[in-house]
Amino acid sequence: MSMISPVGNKIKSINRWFSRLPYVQNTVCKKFQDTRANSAWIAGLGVTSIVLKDGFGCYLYVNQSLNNKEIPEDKRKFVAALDLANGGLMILLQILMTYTISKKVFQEKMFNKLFGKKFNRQASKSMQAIMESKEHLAGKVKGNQEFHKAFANYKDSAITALGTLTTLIAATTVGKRILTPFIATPLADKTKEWMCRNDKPAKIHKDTKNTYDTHTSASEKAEQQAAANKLNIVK
Amino acid sequence: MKVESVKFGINNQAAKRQRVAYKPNFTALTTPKVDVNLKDEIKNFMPPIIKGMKRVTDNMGEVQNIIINALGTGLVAPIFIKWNPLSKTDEDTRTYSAWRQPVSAIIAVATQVGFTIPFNRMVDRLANNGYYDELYNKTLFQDKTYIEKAIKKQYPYISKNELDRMVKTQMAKQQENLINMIKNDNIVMGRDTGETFKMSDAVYRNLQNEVLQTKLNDANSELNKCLNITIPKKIKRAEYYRTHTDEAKNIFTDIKNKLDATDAPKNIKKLVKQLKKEHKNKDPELLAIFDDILARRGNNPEDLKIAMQAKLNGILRDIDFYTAGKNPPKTAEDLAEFIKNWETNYRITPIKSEISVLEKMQEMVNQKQSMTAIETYLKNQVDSTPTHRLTKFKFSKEISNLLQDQVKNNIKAHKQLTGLRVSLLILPLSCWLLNWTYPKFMDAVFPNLSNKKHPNEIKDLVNKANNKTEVKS
Repeated sequence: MSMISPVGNKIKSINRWFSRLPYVQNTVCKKFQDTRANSAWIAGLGVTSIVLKDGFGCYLYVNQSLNNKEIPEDKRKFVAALDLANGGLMILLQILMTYTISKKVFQEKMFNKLFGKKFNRQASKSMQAIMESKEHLAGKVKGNQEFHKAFANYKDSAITALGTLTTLIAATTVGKRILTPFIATPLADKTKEWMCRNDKPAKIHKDTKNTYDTHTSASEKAEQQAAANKLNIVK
Repeated sequence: MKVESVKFGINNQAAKRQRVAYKPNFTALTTPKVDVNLKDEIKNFMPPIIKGMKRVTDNMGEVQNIIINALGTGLVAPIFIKWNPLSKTDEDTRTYSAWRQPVSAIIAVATQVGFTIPFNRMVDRLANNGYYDELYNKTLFQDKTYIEKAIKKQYPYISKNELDRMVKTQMAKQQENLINMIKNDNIVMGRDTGETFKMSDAVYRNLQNEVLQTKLNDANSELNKCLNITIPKKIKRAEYYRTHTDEAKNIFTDIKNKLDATDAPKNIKKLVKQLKKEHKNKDPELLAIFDDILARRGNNPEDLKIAMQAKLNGILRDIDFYTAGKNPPKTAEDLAEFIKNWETNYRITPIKSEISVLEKMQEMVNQKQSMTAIETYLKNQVDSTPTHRLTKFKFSKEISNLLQDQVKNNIKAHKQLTGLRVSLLILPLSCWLLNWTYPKFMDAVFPNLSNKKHPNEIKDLVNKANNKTEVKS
């Protein structure tokens, strides 16, 4: 990354300062040494990262909505409430999904069901036989501890990948993108009530009054009107 | 002495402090001898899905988190917004809102990944040139890409083949130097400033201990497995062979002959399934053997055939081993005794010997004895027993591998946290970009949806209101 030297140096030194933090060195780095044993923790770190970003994003959106002069004043709090309900739910459901999906018992069951057959004793013996049948590997695989280490390494990687992917997908897709939208809208009404608990009744300007028909979209209405005009039907 | 001198044998007595980590003489390097590496070889025999999962684990980090999050946002969210049965909002509004998600996902990936990747590269570069402390210092085992760049800088017109050769040679040379340092209990790392520093004794002893402890844990677990699982299982199976010799011989010889004659081993699996059904009321051990054959795997018919043939050959060999020969065991007790003795001689005693050597080595590490003394002890033990389980155990090489793995994992952890900080810092930019791009995107691509929406709608309403006022006045 080519950077202007003083800025680049500053970024580098901040980055090094972070790398020296005791929590980073004594906890985070240690957890990454055994990704299989700590797959739930690592997946949790990934979700924490997304939750933090969602939290910060939620704050920015709510703030933006509350101060957005282009949104009619009477609707501003509802838009902000929707953002807040959305953000809060996203965070809550992501944490909830992480703590259920990343549970060791659940992960083990899922792994054995999906990939157990690929790593059992017979799978290992099959691979040894297949490798031994190749000319350049003949006599070098059976009974070699290097083989068992490499085989176990693949198993560890598969466990870690499954743990990380399922946790992230459950949190960011199921929790955040499937469950949240279902609950967010009704919750937004409640949130708006809470935000407006001390407000005086807002005056709705006649020009910005919500004119949407929830049954017929505005475009359909316009089309109907146009058709009616063509036929000279006076409504 | 600078670390580069140690690494490349360069005489730089009068060298000045410099920022550039090194400029070694690559032309003096010779091609290293290449041995079969099972760690690399096994990759070719793994099922594709497992290879994919290994790749996921190896590349795990903030970029991956961002992409998974974006896939959910861009592909799943719009579906549940547009077709949400609980929503009372009209369809146009839902479609309009749904389109915000893919736009938001693209912007998130573009900004967050766009900034995270250069930061990841920066972390790699700094780790390779010794900017960080010991935990993240890769000066003794630099990345392939880093060495490639250094060589290209020195030889801008180098051919690809020559470049590959020099990179391989350089990497092998670094590995050799690191092992020599370990053999001398003197790991000296480099800094980007050109200075060097010695790895602290505590960290070094920890590395030694961890290698031995891992090896000890493996040996102990193998011993337990042998005593509690393998031997009882072997006794059970051998007893079946002893009591049902003819039946077993006939069934498995027949399966083997059929397997040898076909190129479709899956059909033989079907046959074994059929046999399992036919013999369902017979000895459970026979059914367990059928299950073992059915569990054999291969990525293609040819490999599957090899795996199944190996199993069937093993079964027929075991039948002969336990029932034929000069003096086969006559009773169940004789057979159990025979298997226990066999396993003790060929597995348990060697494992116990391995454990005792490793424990002694651990003791020597704790007494802070030199690497030379520890490796000499290991050599003496192994030389006295040619089939010793530690014959291929190279202590210094194992320490070198562990050090490299630890540094690699530390860098991975540091990168993930760096990515998180970068993404958080970029977030206001992403939000601003979304607010700026989204209405413009909708106006351009979906004017029908966009025109009805705020602020256009408000504008229309205001215009209408103004018209009314004009009419009134």
